Amino acid sequence: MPPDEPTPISQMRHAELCRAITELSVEARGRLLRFAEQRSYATGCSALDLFQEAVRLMLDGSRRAWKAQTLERDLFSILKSVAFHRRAKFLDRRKRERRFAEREQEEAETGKPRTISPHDTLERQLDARKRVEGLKAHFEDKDDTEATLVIDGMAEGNSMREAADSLGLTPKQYDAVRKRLNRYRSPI
Amino acid sequence: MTGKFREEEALNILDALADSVEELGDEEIADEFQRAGRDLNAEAAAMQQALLGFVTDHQKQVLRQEHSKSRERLMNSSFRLPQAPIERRTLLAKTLRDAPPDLTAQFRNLDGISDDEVTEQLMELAALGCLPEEP
Repeated sequence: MPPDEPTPISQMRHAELCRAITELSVEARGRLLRFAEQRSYATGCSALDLFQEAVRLMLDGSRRAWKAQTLERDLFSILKSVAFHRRAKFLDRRKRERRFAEREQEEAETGKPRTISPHDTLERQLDARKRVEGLKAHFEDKDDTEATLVIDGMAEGNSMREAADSLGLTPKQYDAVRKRLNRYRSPI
Repeated sequence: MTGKFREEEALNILDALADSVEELGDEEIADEFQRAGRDLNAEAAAMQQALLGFVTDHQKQVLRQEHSKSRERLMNSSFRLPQAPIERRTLLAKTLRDAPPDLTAQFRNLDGISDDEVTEQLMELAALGCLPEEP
């Protein structure tokens, strides 16, 4: 988070908030966009869909701003929450569709033609595994043990920092690993 | 752990990578876009347009809701209007004729408006306290 965005938003009126949202810096918009893109995996929505919902929730007051938060930080937090709920719905729907597809498969085996799921396109989002396996293979090939172990830590549900902390990395080592991972993250 | 991940694990990694975007400084995010062959300024400009659209849509929605609420309030007003349309029209004409000069509607051509619009205008005037006292 850049240090030069200290504006607390807790006391902003609606019109001020609207203006502030449209006046986010280029870099802040870039960060939010990358965040939304990467959080949109397995949600059934685009980054922009997540954004639209986050802005709506912020403006209609459904998500209250924390007192000391900046607008950008609040949007990160709301986006994360929106993505979490969308993913839960998406995975639940997919589970039901898979059960449905299995039934169809059984019907196909008994002679009835099998129909293609209309949500096959959503499955494309689930190439997540392929992408992170590529990421890990990249660091394994480079014998980068720190990055590889941090990836394993993240797979268990830890944040990057938590994974680094549990490995006993110093702040300097963490920052170096973070930069290496970020450098390779670009195509994801 | 081998290079193979279950889907849940893969999503955990992607989420953790996403969350670390928050820590990127201005130069780092610009660099990330550049490495991916993307134009940060162009994408930020497109996003700005999208944000403007979201904000405008929201403002319109808020205005529509407020309009709808105020209309509902007016329609539920306890003021009793005359039953006959012609009497309502007469009441509106009289009210506008006697109204204070800052009531801009007084110059409208009342012959050209429908009975429903007459009723609506009377309700609004009632809410504003501009109708004469009931006998």
